[in-house]
Amino acid sequence: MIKLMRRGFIQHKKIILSIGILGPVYMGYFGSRINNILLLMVFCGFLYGIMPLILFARDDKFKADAFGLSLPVTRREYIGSRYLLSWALMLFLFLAGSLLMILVPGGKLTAAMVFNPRLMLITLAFLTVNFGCLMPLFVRIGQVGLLAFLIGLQVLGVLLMVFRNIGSLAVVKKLFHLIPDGITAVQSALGLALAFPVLLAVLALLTYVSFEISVALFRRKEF
Amino acid sequence: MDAAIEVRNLSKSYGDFRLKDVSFSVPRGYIMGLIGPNGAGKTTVIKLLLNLIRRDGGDIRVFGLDNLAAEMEIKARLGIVHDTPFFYEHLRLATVAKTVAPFYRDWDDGLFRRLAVEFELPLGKSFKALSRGMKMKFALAVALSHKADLLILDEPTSGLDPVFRRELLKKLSAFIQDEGKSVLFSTHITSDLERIADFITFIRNGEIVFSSPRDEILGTWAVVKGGPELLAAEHRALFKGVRHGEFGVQALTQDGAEARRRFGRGAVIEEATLEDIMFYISRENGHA
Repeated sequence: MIKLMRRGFIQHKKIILSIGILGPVYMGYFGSRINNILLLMVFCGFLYGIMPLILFARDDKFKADAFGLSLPVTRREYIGSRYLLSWALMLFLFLAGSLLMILVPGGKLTAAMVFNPRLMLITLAFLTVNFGCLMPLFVRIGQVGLLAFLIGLQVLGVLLMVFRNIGSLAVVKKLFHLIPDGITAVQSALGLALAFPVLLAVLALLTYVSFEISVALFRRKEF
Repeated sequence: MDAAIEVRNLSKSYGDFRLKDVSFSVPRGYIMGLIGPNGAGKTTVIKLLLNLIRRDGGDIRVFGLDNLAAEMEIKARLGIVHDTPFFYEHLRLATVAKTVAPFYRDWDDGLFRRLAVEFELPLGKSFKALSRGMKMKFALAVALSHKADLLILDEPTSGLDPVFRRELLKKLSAFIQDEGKSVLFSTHITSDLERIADFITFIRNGEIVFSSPRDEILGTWAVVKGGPELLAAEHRALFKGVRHGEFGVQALTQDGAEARRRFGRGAVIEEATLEDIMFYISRENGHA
């Protein structure tokens, strides 16, 4: 798996460096200009969750998987290396982006606000759910399919705005609040010291389920 | 005979294409040529061997091991050249080699560098800067640098100039001199196989037409040239494919000796080349 990660890193080095520099800079600037920190963290969760897929879209473009799977590796290892590389990138973006939000001159956020454990958990939860859903989808439908799916979501968002008077927007709002409300509920039931590791374990489990689904889908894929 | 590859009753359907009960074996220490017209199923067979696509039925054993159960062990001993080399276009050749080397215990960097010099590969250039022929040479250098026991080459000579093609064929002959090494070589350029292949498998429309030693094929198949009397009802069964020309009839037979006995001096009988066989059989039933 390490060999595959190394290969992935070398193959995508330029893109990883570009994302690794531009992503945090963008989020740092964006973060310094926004008042609603919860909304900012939710946005981070979505943005960071999409970034790794840019790398694997390039595998599709160069049909690199056909050669990759001719090497002595299993399909499980192949997907495993993608998850590890993605999480390494996403955690880096999360930490570097959060740090820059504080450091940008004239910013409105303080370290206490950004590195608030509850807020970090909410961001991580959005990141996990977003990436955990997108990765199996990407494995199944590829870059073009995923792009179509994301555009579809945008269109759906616009339609919901248009028809917000029929109450659909309230449903979406509720959906988005599920994660912060759930985290708050667990926190008040267990206390912060216990809630933090428990929720992290839940996120790890979600990632594992997503990984298993991706492996099952990848095993059915033909090159 | 000990087999490097053994394929039994392999089947696969994709849309309107079907691979039907394909069986053949590549003996250890020999070169097997896989020939057939475009869309015959050669690349499908190779992809099935590599588990890049899923089979609907049948068995594949490589080095005596099931290709699904022992996938890692098998692939560690394979050298592969795909019909289109799938490497990252923007990476330098030396970098691509660096990403491949760690996967093979027996990767020999010295050998890779020697092959790069021999094949005149510019290791400092990016893959996208190469011509198709040079890309193929690079893929070959990578496949030959980890001391594989079996080379699987899908159309490796397409895009190569005749000089390098000959050198490659020499290299493949030398490769199998090392005891126990084998080659499966798919190609359209049948003259390459006449030079080096020990066995030929001919596939058409997803079915094996024959899989036999090259000398046996070239010794028995013949092209018969003569007048319209060749097509008399009693002779039709002797021919696999017929071509009507300006100066008479030409037909392919699998039994050159019988043709000589029947027609004697009444017809010109020549040994068939692999290209003749492929041409006539592909024309049969309208598959030209």
